[in-house]
Amino acid sequence: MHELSIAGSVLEKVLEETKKHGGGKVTEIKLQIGKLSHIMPDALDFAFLTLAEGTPAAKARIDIERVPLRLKCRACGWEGQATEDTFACQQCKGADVEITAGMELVLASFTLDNGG
Amino acid sequence: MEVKVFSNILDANDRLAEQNRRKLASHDILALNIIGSPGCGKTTLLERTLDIISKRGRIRAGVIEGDIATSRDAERIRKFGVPVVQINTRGACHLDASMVGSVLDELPLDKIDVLLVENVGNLVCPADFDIGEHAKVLVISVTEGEDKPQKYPLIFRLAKVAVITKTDLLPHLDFDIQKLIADMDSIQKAQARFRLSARTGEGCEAWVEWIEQVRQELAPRR
Repeated sequence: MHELSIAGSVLEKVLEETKKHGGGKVTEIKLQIGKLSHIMPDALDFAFLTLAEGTPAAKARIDIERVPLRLKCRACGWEGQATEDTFACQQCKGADVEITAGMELVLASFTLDNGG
Repeated sequence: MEVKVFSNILDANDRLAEQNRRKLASHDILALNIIGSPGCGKTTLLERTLDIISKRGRIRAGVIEGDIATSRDAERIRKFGVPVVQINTRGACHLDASMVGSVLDELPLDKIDVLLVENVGNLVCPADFDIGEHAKVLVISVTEGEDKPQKYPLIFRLAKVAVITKTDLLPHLDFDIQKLIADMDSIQKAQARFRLSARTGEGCEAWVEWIEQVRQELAPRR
């Protein structure tokens, strides 16, 4: 959901950074989107293409790394990937866990072709 | 060349949320972000809450109402004589920090101890947007089925409080409240939970006591 405003934020940041690095054409943009986040990659792609028209990022390919949900147990120290349906620790079955990955919405990097 | 960025895409919202948080803290206001499906009973819960708060007379409340359209909810709240602002999102399915930030100054912040923000009816999107609250309060009614927690893991995980509403209807339903609790526990156990009926008032006193207690811990009266 909200792929349009997310795409807008990504585009704004990419264009800002492109200017800082002397301009050029953006060929690829890498995003890290956590599994728990309510974002649909296809919709984000489409929204971005719509907004980026006429900008240096108009032909950029969006590469989305879907980050799995990872948990760390505060009780026994276990750390690992969560299974489908539960946030319980897989070692001690406790519920005192913290989420260490899987909620992010990060613009990781992008590839700039400055033709030089 | 590869340009490394590693920035949070929701940074703009999060920065505004922190601004809201600081403003509320400067006035010692406890802000609760009330989230639940359309029809789960958020506004009715608010009405009962305001009624009890007023009778107990220990804290002062203010309300922000969020809806796509109409000021129907704000009109209901206005009857309780508390400061209330209605935000019409005109299509946005959730409140964000910018919307909440833009109306904070319309409230008499120095005369409010607890700010109850009723989000747009939606179990999905409000979970993604920090508005500067202390806690997300999830409202889930017994008419919604026991299977919702694993279907909506993000909000069930993030909510520090869960209020199970419409308990007066239990005799008419095949609803297994223990099953709901077990499913909720599989997502988040560190959660204050209340079971109540805003309609009859049963169980509501404990919920208001919790609000007063948390507000007291936040800003002990000298």
